[in-house]
Amino acid sequence: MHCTSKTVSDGLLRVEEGSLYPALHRMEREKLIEGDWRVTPNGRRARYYALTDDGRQRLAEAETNWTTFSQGIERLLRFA
Amino acid sequence: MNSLLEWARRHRKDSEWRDEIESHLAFAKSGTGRTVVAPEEAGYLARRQFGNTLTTFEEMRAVHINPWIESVLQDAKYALRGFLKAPGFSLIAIATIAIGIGASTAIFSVVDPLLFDRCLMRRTRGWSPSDSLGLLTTMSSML
Repeated sequence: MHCTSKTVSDGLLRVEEGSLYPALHRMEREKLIEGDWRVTPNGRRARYYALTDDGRQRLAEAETNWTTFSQGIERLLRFA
Repeated sequence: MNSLLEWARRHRKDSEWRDEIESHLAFAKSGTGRTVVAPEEAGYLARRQFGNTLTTFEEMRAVHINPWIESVLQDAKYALRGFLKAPGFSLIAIATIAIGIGASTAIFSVVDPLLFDRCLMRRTRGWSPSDSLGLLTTMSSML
């Protein structure tokens, strides 16, 4: 997940890996994601997280809010 | 309520949360998804990129268990240990507090109906000197 955020953002977003876990647990507590222990292809035990229906809904809301917000800022900057 | 349940299961959960951090570090150490480095450096690099494991663990714990539960229980444990270490002093302290609270309650329960309720009656019904005399007589008989 951390590698993905770094790669997709082209290195712009660098989050300390450890800070992801409290956030994941908070989201799991709010039933936005579900986590379970599985075995990786390398034979290691790892916890996998997946979005729940509520999580998908919240993500869609957050995306809409973010798009509106960033468009507003962009227009403001262009005006300036 | 959920926090209390989580607190009761804290030992099992603690090891699960530690396992999660360890599995992340093992994954990062294996070099999956990044340039391969010397094995002796891989562990160091993984820990550096992860950040403080203890802080992460504490933050994960705080998500599930309300910190105040642990704080209250720690205070209770500390108080109990102090009591067991110096029982004489603790008993004197408890007795002093008990007598203090008891005396304050007793004085209040006498003074409140005698002084304040009478003041209320005086305001509502009108006051006469005999009321004041009656009050003083009652108070002196109680002392």
